[in-house]
Amino acid sequence: MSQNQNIITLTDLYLKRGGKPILSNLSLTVPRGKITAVIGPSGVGKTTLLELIGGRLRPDTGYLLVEGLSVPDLGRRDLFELRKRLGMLFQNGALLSDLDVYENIAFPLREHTRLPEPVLRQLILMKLELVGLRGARRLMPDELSGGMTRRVALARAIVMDPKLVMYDEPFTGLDPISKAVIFKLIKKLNKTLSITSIVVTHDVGEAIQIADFVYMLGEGRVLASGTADEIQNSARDDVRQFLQAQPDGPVPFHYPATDYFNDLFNKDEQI
Amino acid sequence: MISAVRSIGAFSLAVLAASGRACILLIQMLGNIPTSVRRYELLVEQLFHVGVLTLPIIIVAALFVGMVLALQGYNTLVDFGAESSLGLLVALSLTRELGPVLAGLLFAGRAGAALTAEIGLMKATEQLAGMEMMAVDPVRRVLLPRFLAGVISVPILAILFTAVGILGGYLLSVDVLGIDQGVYWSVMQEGVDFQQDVLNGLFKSLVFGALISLLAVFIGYDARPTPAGVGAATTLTVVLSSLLVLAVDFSLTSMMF
Repeated sequence: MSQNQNIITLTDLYLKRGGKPILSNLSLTVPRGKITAVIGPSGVGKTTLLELIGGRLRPDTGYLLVEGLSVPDLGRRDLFELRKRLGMLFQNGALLSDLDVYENIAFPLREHTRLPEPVLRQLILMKLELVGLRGARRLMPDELSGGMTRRVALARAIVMDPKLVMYDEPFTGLDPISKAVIFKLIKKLNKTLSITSIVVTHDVGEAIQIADFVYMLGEGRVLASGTADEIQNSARDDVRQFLQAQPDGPVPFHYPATDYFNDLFNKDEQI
Repeated sequence: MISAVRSIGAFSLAVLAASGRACILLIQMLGNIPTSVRRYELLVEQLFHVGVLTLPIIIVAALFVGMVLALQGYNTLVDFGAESSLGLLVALSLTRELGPVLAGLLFAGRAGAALTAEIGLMKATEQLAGMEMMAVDPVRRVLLPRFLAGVISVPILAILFTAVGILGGYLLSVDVLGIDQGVYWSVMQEGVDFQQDVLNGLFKSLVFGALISLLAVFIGYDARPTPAGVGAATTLTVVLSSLLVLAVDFSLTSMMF
């Protein structure tokens, strides 16, 4: 794929935190206008990947291009300019707790534009209508359910009409109806607004259904990649363990520990 | 033994590193002042939260402190027949020391703790990270208005504390202890120097305001983003800013008077 078709290109990305490698030699591309899912067990560096793309973290080595710009080399001003074209949906919504739904969605517009109030209102109501919460605009964040919070956060993430939206675990902790709503919205936004989407999740079923292209991460790098069918037919044990939800396998059930027998009858009785 | 030395070393390094981060934050905030002038409504909102809402505790405390000062002062002065100087004693104690220091301590307990908890919770719930991803600088949008509001509020609260304290002293001296009201005010007028006493006291409160507000926003911003981390940060703000207010007060007093 040429550079122009990919909105994001990561090459040999390496990141260490607290002496432990989180990502090692991670390379992947995100095609423009498509939904790309990044799946993998918890703690494998999926959210870290989004923080790298958004420029909140810098990799130790490697190349990271977003819209042709090398994110780690961007100055603060350029980085903030780039972020205006990106949207991010945090797992807990990250809504500002002292503002109501309407003002939360207005927040990026008020900060970055000087639109007259009637225009602002129309824009916000259009986004709220899209997520089905136009009637909830005067509610405070603590009055919203988990699914509603995520829908409001989604409306806020797209209010600046971004080119790319990153979804961090969008399906986690939702009831089936809310899950289906978020699923439908991600699809709809991708289709109607041509927004490129990166969905980071450990919900295999949803990821495989929604994505045009899937990456599975493990041990800080890409274990498998391809279309949903290709991933599902992967011969790798670690990929199959994850997809088939087996409790033990290449990803061990036990956290590394000393010998069980010695530990049980240890005379020193160290905890 | 070695582990004790090591932990002292690690603690000193951590304190130094935190001081460095606090200085960087202060520079970032000061650099953002020109752009934040345009958004004065954010400052006004915070002035209400940290300043106006601290008023009740300041007024009630000042009233009692003024009355206690008058009572204790009277009991001592009356032995020397100097009870007519009671107004001066109350006024000097309040303008030079008790006004700025107690207003600072009360501000740290009421508003400083609230600022740290609010910013710490915003960090723990990813609200600050969310802002950054929306290309909004949390230092400019969240921290700076709160810091400035603290710097502006504390001197005003200290002035009010002093004024209400003097009135409390007046109520007790004149209405209860029978001091002549003309004497109460005239000794004050003669004995209190505007520059030496009032302005120095005001300067102290400005320093305390800056110190407490910087500590409160920094500790909140630097807090571990967990419930325990936010709790510890809130306690640290109150303890550290109270101790620093007292220590800095001693240094300033030894230089000024």
